[in-house]
Amino acid sequence: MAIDIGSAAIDRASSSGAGYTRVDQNNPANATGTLDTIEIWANADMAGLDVATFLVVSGDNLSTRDTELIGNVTAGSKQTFSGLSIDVTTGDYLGSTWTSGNLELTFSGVGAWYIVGDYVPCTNQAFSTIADRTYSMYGTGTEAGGGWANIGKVNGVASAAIAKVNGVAVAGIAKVNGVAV
Amino acid sequence: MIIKFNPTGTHVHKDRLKIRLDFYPDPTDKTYAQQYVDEVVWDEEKQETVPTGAKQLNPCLCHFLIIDTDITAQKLTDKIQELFPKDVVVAIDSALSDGNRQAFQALINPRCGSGKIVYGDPSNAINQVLSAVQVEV
Repeated sequence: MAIDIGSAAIDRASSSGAGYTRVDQNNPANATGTLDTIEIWANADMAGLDVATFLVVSGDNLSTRDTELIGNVTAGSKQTFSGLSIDVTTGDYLGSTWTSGNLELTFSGVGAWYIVGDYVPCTNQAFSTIADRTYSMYGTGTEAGGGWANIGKVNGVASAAIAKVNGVAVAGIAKVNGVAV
Repeated sequence: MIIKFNPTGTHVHKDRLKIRLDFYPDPTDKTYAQQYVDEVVWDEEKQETVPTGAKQLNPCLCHFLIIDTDITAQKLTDKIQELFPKDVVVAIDSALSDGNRQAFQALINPRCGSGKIVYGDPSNAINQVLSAVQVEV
């Protein structure tokens, strides 16, 4: 199953500035596995973007599960960052911090946790909450042990249990019999 | 399409060294229209972005690649040409333009590179070595 977390990276009506760590309360992760792609829409060129998956320890205390540096993000269009490997567990939330620039924001939706400063990573950190916030920050990935997204079996063997097909390691396979994995 | 090394993304994650490659579409690529946008700057007084009147070209994809610390500019150039030949780049461009996540993942997932465990953070040194890498595919 494909994992998704966070909110669509689209052009929104408002923006959110640097100097905070923000965690989107919309759309927690629907499965456990690894995020390999992050999408961002910056309102003004962003620098030093660090993204993370966050878990709720208790109440509004959060810890980062995994983090990865993105770097600069140019403004004005959806930016896609692939080749990532961010651990995520069902129920985790997507958050980030950056050093300058603005992230697209809508004043609606569930809301966010936030704290002044760079708290990527953090452990059992108390965050403040604010309602009606949705950020243009979205992640997708693959469920752990899920095999291929589009192919369930090859020659009767579940894709999650396959190491090679015709001598080729699964990491190097894009299609099987013309079907994208 | 032009693929450029972006030093702002160099980092070590899970003990592996990763670098960032930004893909800039040509005017004939499908993603060009999405990425050729109005240049804006932040106006402190207005507390919003304002257009400068100029245009800018954003990358259609920023891809992280695992590499070894003995990478050279030539090795990276060769690796880019190996992993992203014209037909693959055309397919990636099409998948991104169409919003076809499954097709995109099938193309990009086998192209994340590999490398040995890294001790410490060699990002600054790597950025100096690779700063000028730019490949037209």
